[in-house]
Amino acid sequence: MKNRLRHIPANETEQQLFELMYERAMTGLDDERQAEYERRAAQHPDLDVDCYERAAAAIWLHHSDGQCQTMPQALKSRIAASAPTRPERLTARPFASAWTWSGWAAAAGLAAWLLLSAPQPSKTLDASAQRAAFLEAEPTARRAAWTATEDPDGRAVAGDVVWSPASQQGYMRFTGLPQNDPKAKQYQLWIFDAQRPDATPVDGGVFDITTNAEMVVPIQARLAVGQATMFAVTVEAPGGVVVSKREHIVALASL
Amino acid sequence: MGALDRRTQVRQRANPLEPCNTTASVPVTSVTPEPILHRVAAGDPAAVQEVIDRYGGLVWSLARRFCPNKEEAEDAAQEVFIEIWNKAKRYDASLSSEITFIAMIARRRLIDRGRRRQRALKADGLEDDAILPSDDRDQEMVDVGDEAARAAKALAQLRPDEQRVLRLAIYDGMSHDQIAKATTMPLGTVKTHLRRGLQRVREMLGVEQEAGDEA
Repeated sequence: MKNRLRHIPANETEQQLFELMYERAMTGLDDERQAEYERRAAQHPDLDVDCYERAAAAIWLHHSDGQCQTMPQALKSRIAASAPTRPERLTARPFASAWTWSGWAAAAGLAAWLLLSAPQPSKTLDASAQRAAFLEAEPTARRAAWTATEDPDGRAVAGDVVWSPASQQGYMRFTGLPQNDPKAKQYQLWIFDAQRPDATPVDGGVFDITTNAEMVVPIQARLAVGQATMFAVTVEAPGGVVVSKREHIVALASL
Repeated sequence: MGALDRRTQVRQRANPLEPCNTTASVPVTSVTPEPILHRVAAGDPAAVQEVIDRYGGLVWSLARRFCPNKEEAEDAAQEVFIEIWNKAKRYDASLSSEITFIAMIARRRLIDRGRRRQRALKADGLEDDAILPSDDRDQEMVDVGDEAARAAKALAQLRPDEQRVLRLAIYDGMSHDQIAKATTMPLGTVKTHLRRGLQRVREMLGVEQEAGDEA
């Protein structure tokens, strides 16, 4: 296949686009400049608009000397689990950067569909990808690492919780939390809010751990959280409770 | 050992267990295989794993250089791969090798992510964490592709100062201000060197690409 894209600007208008391409390759563009870049690029489909970025990538590769750090196996597994396996998932592009509320609603519908129709691992698969998209869309989201507890089920807990006060959404990521039998017990998240008494934290939702591998669980806060200060996971009776006796605290994370 | 020497050495390896994209073991007369990214776009699960295995180290190395800590780098690497899955069908083998395309997507995503982080920190009145040297010891070798060799040729034609600032900006990820302080060059000179240097490399890559098209 022959490439017919042009690499040299032919006039002042194209030169302005090349300026944006240069900036994009070196420092990135702010939203306004990015919009201008996209508008101008759309007007010049015959220009190779990636040529500066390609040159920068080639320079990076040259200086890397071919030496790369090996990606941790756990991360490879997480990326593989969140990868699409059907072509329509790619064209749907559900994880585009400018996700709107309706985009999240659509994803929730997709997740619900997967829950009903797909094998169990797909649930983890999409939550993990949704978490990545969430972090992209919510740059001010706050993160805290889980602390293991003395509870027998909480001694090996690791992972983190991310929470966006702006959107009131977040995700928990766990490893080392034992799988539970939903008919016998379930996990429940509690969100401590600086604007509420510690005795009445916000119910963050009931959930199950269904895998020994890393699992991502979306937070489902029942009430608005003013200022989250701490997240706690307890073991409760199936269906969860309104007020926890806090007898089995298996994970804690302070913001 | 220079970059080109090492690249030659890497290409000569034919151990199938090594993660690099060796070319020495491929017969000259063989049909060019379909790019892995096109197989990804077609929904081939094996291709997805192949991309992760082949380019995971590259993406991870870039993420570790652009992110202040390991946790951020993990999220960033995952973001990059989501972008790769979404852009896979746009890969055009006549414009670049696959590894350059992957590196380009990764840089773009990491630069954008860095800008968002800076904006959020600025809004909170906080300073960005310094990016600490990675303590990851496991290393792997990859074939860096034809564009890297051409970039090396183009860089060799630049003045030493231009080569230096390009490396500091693109490989080490330093800002213009940081480069000016590190090199004691005036900020304007740094910007001029960067612009001229990248423009020259871009032109040379384009000229060689067109020559390849004509052949």
